[in-house]
Amino acid sequence: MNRILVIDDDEELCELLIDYLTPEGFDIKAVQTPEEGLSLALNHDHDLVVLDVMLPGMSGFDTLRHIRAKSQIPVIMLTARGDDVDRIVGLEMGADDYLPKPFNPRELVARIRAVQRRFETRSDAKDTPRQSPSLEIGDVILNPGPRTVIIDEKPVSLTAVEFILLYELMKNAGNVVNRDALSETVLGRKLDIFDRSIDVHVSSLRKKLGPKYQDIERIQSIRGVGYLYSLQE
Amino acid sequence: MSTQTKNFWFDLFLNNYLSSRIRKNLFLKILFFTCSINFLSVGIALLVTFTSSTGPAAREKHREENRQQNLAQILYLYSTPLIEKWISDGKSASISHADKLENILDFEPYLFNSEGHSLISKKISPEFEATLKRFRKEDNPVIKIATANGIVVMCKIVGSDGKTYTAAGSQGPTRKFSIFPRDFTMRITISILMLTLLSFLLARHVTDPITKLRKATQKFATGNLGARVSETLGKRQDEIAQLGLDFDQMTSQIQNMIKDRQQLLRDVSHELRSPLARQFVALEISKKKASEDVIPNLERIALEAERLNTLIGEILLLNKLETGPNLRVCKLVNLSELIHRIGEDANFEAHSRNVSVVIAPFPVIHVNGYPEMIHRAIENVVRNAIRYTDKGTTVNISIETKKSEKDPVILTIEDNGPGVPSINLPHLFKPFYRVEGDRGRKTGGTGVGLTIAYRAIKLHDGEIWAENSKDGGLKIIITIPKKMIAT
Repeated sequence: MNRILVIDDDEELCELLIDYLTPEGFDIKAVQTPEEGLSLALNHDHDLVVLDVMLPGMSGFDTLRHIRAKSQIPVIMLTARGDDVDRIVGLEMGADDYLPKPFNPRELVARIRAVQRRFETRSDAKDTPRQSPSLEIGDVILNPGPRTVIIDEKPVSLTAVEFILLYELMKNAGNVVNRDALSETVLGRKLDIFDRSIDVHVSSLRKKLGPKYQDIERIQSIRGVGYLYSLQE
Repeated sequence: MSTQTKNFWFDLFLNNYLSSRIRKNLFLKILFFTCSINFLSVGIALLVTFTSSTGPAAREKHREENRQQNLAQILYLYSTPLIEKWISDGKSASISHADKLENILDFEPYLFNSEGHSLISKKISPEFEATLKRFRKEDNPVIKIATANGIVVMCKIVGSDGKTYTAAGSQGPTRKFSIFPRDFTMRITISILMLTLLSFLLARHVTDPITKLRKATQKFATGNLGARVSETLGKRQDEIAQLGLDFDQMTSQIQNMIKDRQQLLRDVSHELRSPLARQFVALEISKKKASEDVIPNLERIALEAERLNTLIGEILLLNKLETGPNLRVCKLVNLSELIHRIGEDANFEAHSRNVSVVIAPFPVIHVNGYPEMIHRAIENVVRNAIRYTDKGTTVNISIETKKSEKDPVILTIEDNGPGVPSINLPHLFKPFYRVEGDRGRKTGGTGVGLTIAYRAIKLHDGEIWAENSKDGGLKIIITIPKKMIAT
């Protein structure tokens, strides 16, 4: 789970990242062009992609779109700091998390670990979904073991963040899940005041789950508190 | 000049309201003067017409003379055969002849022989008879008299018997012709209306493009660099249209200059971040390998790098505020919640200086805008106040609002520090401006915090200014409209 692909056109930064991350136990491969990065990201040799938004030629967003068309591999975007539009666009396109550049490498490690945790199969961890029985509400069936979601007998492809988000909401179906708590379990960090990451993920999850079921909104927003997965009668 | 007319002119020219309106408004000015010139010309034209030899008064006199002349002529034509009839066939024949002619006459005929006996049966008023007697004694063959009841013509005719007969005719007054033409009022009304309309069109033709130019200038001055005027001026090619073209050229040049400057600033800031990103990683690597005694120095380098990063971020934010942020983030902002949150965060920071932030109670207020920008603006002002207030004092935040949607929310942030010399007050919101003697930088801050606040508030059509309060501290007042004027 430690094979990480870095796609960033700053070659020197890539070298430094290799220097920093290798002792942390990661296996880093760094490429400078989006084309190269795209083919490597899709050949299943890596577990996570760190993708810079500003790339020569094909932009980071285009690269992300091409990756998402074929793979649900976790992606962390490196965005320009302060550019809230970049970060929302990245999340909407299916990035799992983002990190404003320039970043503290410790923060990058923390983000990578948070994304990884959602995939890890640690038998001692109680909250890992893999050991849990499958959840079924209405026409949605979520299988934590094989990490699949089936709606109306059709499988739906979710990113790691979306899967864990849906799992948390379905586990607490009928109850409001606090936004901050959701952020800590799903993204592994607290939200800043204006961080809309969770909301963006919820909104893409809504799109993937499709229209209302029996005229009830599947995921309801509770203003100022959080989200609620509706129980079907 | 009577008092009344004097008052009228007084009202028209000296009345403060009207004269000041005219003085301040080019349109009214042109309209007023062209109308005045037009009315004056109409007046002069009328005066000339009525007094000239071909004018209505002269024509009327001429017409009256003509009528008398005609009457005399007809009287002569009428009387001659009648006299002959009387001479040859006697009185009864002449009366029956007169009766036959009566219907075709438009005057009252009288006919007398040399002895003064009437040849036809007609009553004679005593007044008329007196005139007649006088006429018979005179040598005049013809007299024409205009009386109150019309005109009277008398003439002497010598019959075939050699005697002198007297014929007279009286015609009632003609229908009194007005000296004004029949549709005079309509004509005058139409011409005045036409002239006023033309004046109006002329005034508008001149002032319309000027108004447009002025609006564009105002728009440009308030920061809308895309304001252009020539396309709104239509097909004009005159000096004003050329002025419009010049204006457009000027604005697009300024716009390009500003764009270039912003682009340069943005590029430089972005470029500065790449080495900074590498420095962050290199620093962390060094920290892992470094011995204990070097760590504080490395921490210091990290702190300075972080400061540099913050400064770059703020310059980029300023840049973004100038170009106008993404509209996607504009929504209803709960100002009360925002301020309490800022207060809490600031209190945490203020604690180390033994300072506290006090928020006066106020009701729940919502404004429309960019939440992050309003947050940054207020936060920067509050942080600035914490930085400068004296140790052990408070920073006071108070909010005033009125129920009306039109009234803005007024926010006052007051510290208990040394204040700022009043000559420096207007410059406080300039980037990197520091009050003299404050170069020591011990108070921290990047130097653009208040500038960001200023731009962010301006973006919301609000106002922000600084005052020294009575107790010596600095007071910053922010107004935010509840609804943005332009979104």
